[in-house]
Amino acid sequence: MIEFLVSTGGKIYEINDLITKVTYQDTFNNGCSKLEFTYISKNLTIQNGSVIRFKYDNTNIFYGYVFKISRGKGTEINVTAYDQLRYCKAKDTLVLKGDTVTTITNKMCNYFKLNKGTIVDTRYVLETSVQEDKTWLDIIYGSISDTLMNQKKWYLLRDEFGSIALRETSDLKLDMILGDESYCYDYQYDKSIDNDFYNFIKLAAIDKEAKTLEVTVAQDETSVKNFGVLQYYKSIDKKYSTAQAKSMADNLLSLYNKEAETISLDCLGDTRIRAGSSFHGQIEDIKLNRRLVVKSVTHKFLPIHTMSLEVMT
Amino acid sequence: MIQEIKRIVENYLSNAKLCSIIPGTVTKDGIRISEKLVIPEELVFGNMKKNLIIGDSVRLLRNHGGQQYFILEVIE
Repeated sequence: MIEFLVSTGGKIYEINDLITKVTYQDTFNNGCSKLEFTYISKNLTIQNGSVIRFKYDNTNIFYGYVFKISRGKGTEINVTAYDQLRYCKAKDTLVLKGDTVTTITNKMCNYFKLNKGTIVDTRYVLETSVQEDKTWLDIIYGSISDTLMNQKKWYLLRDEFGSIALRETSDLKLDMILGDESYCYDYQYDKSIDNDFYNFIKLAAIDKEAKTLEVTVAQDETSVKNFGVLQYYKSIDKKYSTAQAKSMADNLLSLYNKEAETISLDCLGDTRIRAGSSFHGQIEDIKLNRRLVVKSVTHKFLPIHTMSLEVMT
Repeated sequence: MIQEIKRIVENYLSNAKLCSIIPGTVTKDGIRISEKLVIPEELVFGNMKKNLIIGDSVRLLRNHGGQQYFILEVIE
């Protein structure tokens, strides 16, 4: 079932039988993935920097490097390992000129001497900019969101079993249903108007010379009736025409007049699920019936494989 | 705890790139402000831009976000 290899001090050890606990965590465009495991020491001492390779049911799960070891008096030792993206947390200064997310990713891999895998061509040429004293990951995530805003295409940077990959999220669709009747044994669903929810938008343009105040309002009456007045107020430049101010207010209203939903699911494990994968979610009670993208996932492997995931809504 | 908060705020500020005044030297591809960083011409603004000569020392004003650099003066 599990296959666990450690390479330390120039030798490779198979420690399948010594492992008592394995947890794998992965998040969407938010740093490296993490493998935590506990093993019984016997005579083997795993060192920081050791290479870990973990497979489950013959599926490649994790290939990475040990960054932390902790133990108490007993023989059980806890180890934390990260994939290659851990090295990209380093800060640097770059000038982006004629670059795309693809070229930056390639530069990063060459600079840190990382193994490259599938790196798709994002095509969108980013605006010239100075990225000073920022982490490589932040520079790439920033560029990915610029690309998203201009091209409506969303990319994901991750390490796939020891090789850095840049993929488009639409290529990561799984033919899979998770929900009531399929794999899912518990879920948590929140619907909130507590944060960033506004159904009454007020924009004020103050003209200091003419000493006038022009107020533009946009509201959703049904929503106000249901939830009460939740007001958003902002002063804007007087240079905007009444029509422009009105359309700004309408845009803000459509952006903020939405109940924020968060869904997390506890399911039986499936090794295909990583952050960025999408599946079809189906839960009767909350009328959920649509495709969802995984924002973060935690797989727990022993004794049985389960996973908890948080999705983007 | 306080040390942690300080570190987080420091990181955030350095990431946000506040306005600041920076000395630099004009080179053929832009303005060099440190060993590593040459500001490309497209990001340099101000009506003194056309009078710059390679080798001039200048003072730049960086905008919030760090994506525009305005030439304040040429240092004698």
